[in-house]
Amino acid sequence: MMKWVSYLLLVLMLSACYKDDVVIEDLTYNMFDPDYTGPAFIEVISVGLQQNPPGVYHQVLNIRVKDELFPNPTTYKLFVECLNDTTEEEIIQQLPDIHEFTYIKYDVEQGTEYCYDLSLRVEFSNTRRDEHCYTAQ
Amino acid sequence: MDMDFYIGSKRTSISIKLALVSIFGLVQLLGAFAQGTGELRLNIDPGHNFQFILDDQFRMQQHSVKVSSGTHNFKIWAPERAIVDTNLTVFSDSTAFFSMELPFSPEYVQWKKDMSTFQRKFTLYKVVPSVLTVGTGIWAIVSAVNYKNSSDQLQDNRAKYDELVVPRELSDLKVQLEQDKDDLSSAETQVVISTSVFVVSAVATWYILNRAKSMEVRVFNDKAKLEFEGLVYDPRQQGSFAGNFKLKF
Repeated sequence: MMKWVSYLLLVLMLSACYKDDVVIEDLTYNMFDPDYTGPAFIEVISVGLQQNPPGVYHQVLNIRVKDELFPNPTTYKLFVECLNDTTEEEIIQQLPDIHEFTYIKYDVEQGTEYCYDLSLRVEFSNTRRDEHCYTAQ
Repeated sequence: MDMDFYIGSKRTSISIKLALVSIFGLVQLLGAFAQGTGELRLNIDPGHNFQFILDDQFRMQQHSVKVSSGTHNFKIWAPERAIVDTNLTVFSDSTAFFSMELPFSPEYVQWKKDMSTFQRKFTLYKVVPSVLTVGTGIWAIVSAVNYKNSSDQLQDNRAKYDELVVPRELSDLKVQLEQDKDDLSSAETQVVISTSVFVVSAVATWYILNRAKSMEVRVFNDKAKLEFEGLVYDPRQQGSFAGNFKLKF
């Protein structure tokens, strides 16, 4: 009987070697995680000002999403919120492989700074929002 | 008064009184030889193994017996039962029935009580610790399996973090990971407790079983059987020859 007990104890001791090495606070490197702390994955390539018709100005942002940071390929929308007037806009990908977008903020006042929160929207939930501010000039 | 008669040419004289006495004696003698027999059928509980001794002479194991008319002594016995000593009267050319339930012998009743006590002690000393040890062993194994499953689930969910691309699912996954960590922690605690209990119960069982080795089942000593068998010598028990007899001095 003691032999049987010894075997059982050995099995139990071996099975007790599992370790909880998961630190949730360290899980911030997936760019789709709202708690992501890595480098920005949305970059504004250029900002411009359009006038059409004369005297009416629009701020144009050319934006690129760094898809090379994606853990897996996915489709998404670019979500832009203008913090000046809290308007929101979702910009759909033209094609799954295209990660560049153009956002136009219509009817801006020349010389005024406009701030935007940029994020990606996947299945009705957003990634981290990065704030970008540009003066309309 | 005398009566004369001839045997051949010789004259013989016999008294009548002597003749009458002789005739009466002859009739008595014939009557004795012509005594009737009757059958006695025994309906004894237990019916399969009872024995009886007839008139302190013949040991038998059968359900009916033919005996001469008159009163006979029967000593009836069965294993674990007391000897019943009774006289039964059988009438000539008739069948008599006798039914009874043999009472248990006092020794057997006492032995049954002792066995009941022994069974309780046996259960307490051997069965309960063994069952307890097996139970705690199963508990420890189940806890270990549960611990492994909890660890696997935590690692699987941890791996999902590197693959998910939906922010909401990632947020939910972190909540799930917190739950998985709690489950793993409680499973680990359960493994420690169950293994400790198992070790303690195993050692205790080993100790108790060692002590219980001295416990032996007391065999029933049927004193009534010895007494019954001693009433009549049965050579069949010795394997020599069949037949019953009793020495009388």
